[in-house]
Amino acid sequence: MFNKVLIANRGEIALRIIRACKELGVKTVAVYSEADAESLHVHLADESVCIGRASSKESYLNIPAIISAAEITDAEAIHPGYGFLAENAHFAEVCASCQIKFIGPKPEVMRLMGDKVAAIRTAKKAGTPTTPGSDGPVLDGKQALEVAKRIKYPVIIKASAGGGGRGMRIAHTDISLTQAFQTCRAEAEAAFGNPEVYIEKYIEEPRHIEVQILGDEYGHIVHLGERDCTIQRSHQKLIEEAPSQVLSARQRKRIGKYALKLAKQVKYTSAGTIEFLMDKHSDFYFMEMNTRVQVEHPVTELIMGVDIIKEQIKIAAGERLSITKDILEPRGHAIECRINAENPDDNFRPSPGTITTYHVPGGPGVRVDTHLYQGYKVPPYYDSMLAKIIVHSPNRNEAIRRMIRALDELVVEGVHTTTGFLKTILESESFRRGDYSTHFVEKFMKNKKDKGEEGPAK
Amino acid sequence: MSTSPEKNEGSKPEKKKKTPAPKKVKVSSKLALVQDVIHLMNEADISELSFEQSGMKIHLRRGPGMPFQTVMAPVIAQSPAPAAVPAAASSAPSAGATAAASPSANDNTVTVKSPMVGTFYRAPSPDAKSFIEEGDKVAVGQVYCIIEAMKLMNEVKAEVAGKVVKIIAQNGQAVEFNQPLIVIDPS
Repeated sequence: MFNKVLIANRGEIALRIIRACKELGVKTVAVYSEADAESLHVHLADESVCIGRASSKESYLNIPAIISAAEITDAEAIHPGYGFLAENAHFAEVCASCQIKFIGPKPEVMRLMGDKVAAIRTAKKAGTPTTPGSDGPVLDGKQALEVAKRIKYPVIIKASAGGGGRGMRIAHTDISLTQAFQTCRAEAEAAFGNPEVYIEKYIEEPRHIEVQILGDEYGHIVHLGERDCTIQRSHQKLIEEAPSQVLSARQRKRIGKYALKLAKQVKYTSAGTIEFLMDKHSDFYFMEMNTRVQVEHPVTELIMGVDIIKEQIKIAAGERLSITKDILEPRGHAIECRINAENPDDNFRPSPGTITTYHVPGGPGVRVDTHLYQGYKVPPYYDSMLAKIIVHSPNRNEAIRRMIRALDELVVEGVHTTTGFLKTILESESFRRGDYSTHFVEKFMKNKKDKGEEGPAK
Repeated sequence: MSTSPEKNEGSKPEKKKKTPAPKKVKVSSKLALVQDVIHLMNEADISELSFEQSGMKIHLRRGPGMPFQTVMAPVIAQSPAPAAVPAAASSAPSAGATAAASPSANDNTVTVKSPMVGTFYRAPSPDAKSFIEEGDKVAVGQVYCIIEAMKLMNEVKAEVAGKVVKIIAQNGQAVEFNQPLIVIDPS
């Protein structure tokens, strides 16, 4: 096991990793920007190193500073968390060349699956169902029109180097496709430095189902079941659940089997997630693979009784996966709500500031992953997520009630939060029924507006 | 608006292990370390300090009769990395890595802070002469020291001409971003 691990991240995930390390008896090094000097992860780590100014580029994306911090503290491994450098194959290579273990998959696998076009090709090779599409990059408007004719409208144009819901446009006609194609290329160039785009059939009313993968360095790979992340706003997940209530036992088995086969195809190591879209006919299609631990990993941890972060650290330290069965049986139902410092009544505008009052929910089956404390100043430089409230109950209905109860107990004053907004979603009949697609939030908000209701007061 | 959680006035809040010691710390150098800590307390006008590292913990407090100074002095600009320091950061001092100002004895001095994370060296190589000594006069563009990061030697150059009042960092010491290295009197 490692003697010391450096956490190349901030906020709640840095804290999460520090907690796992402490329980494994591993010393921790936190790195932080000037803006995060009073952050909880800095206070709770054994050592901390200031690596730069507030901007992500000068700090959490600053590879020389992070590697240097690992060297001066004699950290043997780096856990990148999610976001920032977590899916940066170059960073993983730099770690390797400096004899620092990168806690994550191999760089070549990150590269392969990080390139959306290459990932789809790989998925096809593994027999994973993929969305009908261009099967490769689309080089000009003429080719785009040909593809659309073959697979039929509506289609979606995506950036090969994109991800996380960015760099995508939908087209319903030849004219809109031609325009969208050019715009997408320009946006892709600007945002990801690579104008390459591809086209897929746009799946209407999709559900977002993803499968958690864990693999050790001895070739043993398991899947930990699926998560349902269909409740999204502008492609950002708001509420996640495990297991997915729309999958039959047979579908669950199938999707798990496909995910496992793909993971084995690329000899995947560490934690990863394979994302699928499911259409209204219950057919699912490979969308992309995330070669890192995800924000919503807690819901899987609760129903499967596995500590995914600890497993990542153990795998990186050369241990064999302790999970022996290829398929584990889930227990109960878990839901996670992401609480963001945003004002739902003002188009979800970010709301940085000082947390003047903070009270954490508790009681049975409630888990809170957060870096908040009373008096904490939420900096404006990073993402707006404040906390993850996660509940675990014997079934979905009880989990929904438990979450509503927990959100009622949560007090965060001094900044706007999305707590009230999430609560109204959970209380809605359509959420309980569970028959919704990724358009749910959009429809929900439009519905409220039409009814003349203002946003929640909280 | 408060900038940070409550702190005891006049004393540095306990912050765990901010600055790692130089590599290969031997038993005898632990006494040298205590000496350095006392030295640092005098320089930055700290009246109470806790320092913990590698299984050793030091807690030092100035006795009665010493002037009780607050250490929340404003950061003086003009260092190799001019800091547009957000309020939270500048009021987050800690043992050995403070962004606090120079000694109150001379308000004109400028504290040169580390522009990067790495190891501080006073000379271009182990046998060579140090770049600067205390008392030296330095010109703009003159090399103060080297910060080694990822096997690359980075020269830190003077942005202000003046006299070297104090060299705070130790040769071979691990330094973080914004760590005080050298005090210059520009007058």
